[in-house]
Amino acid sequence: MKIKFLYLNLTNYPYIEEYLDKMAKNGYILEKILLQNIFIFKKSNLKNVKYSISPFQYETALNILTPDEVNEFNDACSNIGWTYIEKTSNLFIYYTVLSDLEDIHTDSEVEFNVVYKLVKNQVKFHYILLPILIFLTWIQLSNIYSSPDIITNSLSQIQSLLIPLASILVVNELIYIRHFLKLNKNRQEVNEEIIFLKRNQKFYSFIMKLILFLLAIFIINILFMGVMLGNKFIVFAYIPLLIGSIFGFLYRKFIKVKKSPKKNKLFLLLLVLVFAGSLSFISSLLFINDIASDIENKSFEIMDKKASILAPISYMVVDNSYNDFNNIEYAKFISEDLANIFFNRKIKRIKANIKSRNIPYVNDLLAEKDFLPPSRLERLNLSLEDFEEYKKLDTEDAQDLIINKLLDASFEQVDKNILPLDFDEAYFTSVFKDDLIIKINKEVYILNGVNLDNGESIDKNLLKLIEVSNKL
Amino acid sequence: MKNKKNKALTQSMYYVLLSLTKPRHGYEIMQYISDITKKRVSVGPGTLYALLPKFEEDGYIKMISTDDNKKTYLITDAGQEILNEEINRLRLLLSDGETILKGCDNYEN
Repeated sequence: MKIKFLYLNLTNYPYIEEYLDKMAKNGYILEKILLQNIFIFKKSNLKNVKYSISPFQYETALNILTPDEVNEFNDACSNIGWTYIEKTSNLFIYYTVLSDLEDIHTDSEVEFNVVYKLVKNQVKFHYILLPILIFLTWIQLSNIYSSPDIITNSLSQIQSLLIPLASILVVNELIYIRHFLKLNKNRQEVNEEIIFLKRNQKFYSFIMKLILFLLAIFIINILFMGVMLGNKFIVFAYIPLLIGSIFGFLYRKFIKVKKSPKKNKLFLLLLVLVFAGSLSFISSLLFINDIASDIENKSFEIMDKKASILAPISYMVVDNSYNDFNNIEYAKFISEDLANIFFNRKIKRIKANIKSRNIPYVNDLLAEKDFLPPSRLERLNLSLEDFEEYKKLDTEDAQDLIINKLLDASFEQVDKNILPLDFDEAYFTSVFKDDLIIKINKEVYILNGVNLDNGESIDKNLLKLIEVSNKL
Repeated sequence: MKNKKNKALTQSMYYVLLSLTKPRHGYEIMQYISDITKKRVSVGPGTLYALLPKFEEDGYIKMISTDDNKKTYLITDAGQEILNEEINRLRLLLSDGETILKGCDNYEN
């Protein structure tokens, strides 16, 4: 067996055909193509093997072609002596050992049209994909600089490499196939042969191999987190993908094959997409409800367990006994520097959350003309007098002042005497002093809904947490 | 109805349209072309199955039945018109050629 990494596309398939012929002469025939680029050859004694790569649109859930149409084409090829091996990138690969066999494509003008049309579709697809990837790249890159979660979440870390690499690949492909179209644009009109491109594969191969490697790690990570760490949230994140795949399969299997007009099929496809989207949304809600009711009566329930190179363990502890705390986020890092970065980013995130959560509330209050009961101002740590003063100002200024005052009141350094713990740094993060963020060496704890009247109990729970973490 | 770009049909296009003056499915079309041209012209499956949906989209042929997952097509009036135009064009080519080769070229400088 031999495995080769090759770039096969509508722009270069005659060169790959030549390569396959050469491999056959050396005693290796193509057995399978995995992931579009990995060509698996097996040793063979067959003599005079000849390949034919034929451009033909293949059937997917999103195009109007049916499997029967593809099968009919395949049958016709096998009827004249070509044996089907594999399909990839709208190219069907056949071989034969018979000599003087009729070609699969006998009209170069028609072949030209097919290739040109399919390549144009590829360009359209790349133009749709590119803005999405650029947007995702932008999100991922900004996450690298600001998100605390990227340090604890291995999937985010892989994505932040995978998505920019995919964007580079798509840009590279787009340049390449546009060049192909430009080169051939006027040749068809003057009945000239199509020019295929003999591509230098080094750059493409390097990026593609990296992407495949990262994808493999991504999948292993999902399995590890789902199966080994029992993280239910991973399942939740992939519900839409799962439902989409099931519906795509069902649509292809039962609706596309029906003998009905193409317009009806397109309408049904739209219905299926809407239905699958709604179902994904509803099942996600049901899933969240399920988790919420599952943990409702549990105390000290560890969930959302994650592991990454930078943070070997992180999770959330939910406690519904409502005695000492509601939940604790915990993360342990490989270095204190990383713990500091996470700690500071988390504080920034909490501040941003406080701001975004309270701005609409502040605006509502400022818009009210009736008398406000002081209880409605407690959440903002404002007295009625102060509020009346702010109300006299311009709305935007008043909003800024109130929010800044709220942030000042929410964030307060925790006194070493309040918590009987040997911590490096700790802050209250809410007005009512029931939320805290604590850093101890390489560990960060984020506690919500804490009952500080019972300091000993917090200490006991944190110690329990440390004990649990050490065992994980 | 003119051919979309007013271009001549290729040999394959011509014979595929010609073969569909009677209902035929894919493999039958290939066989028929091979038979009537005494194997002088062959239309490969890649060419045929690219032309059939294109002609159907252009309204030159229509699918009339699907049996055993094989689609049977028949030429339409528009397709017949294209075919007639092509035959006339070929007649003119032939006549021009014969005229000149017989030494009756009145346009010689």
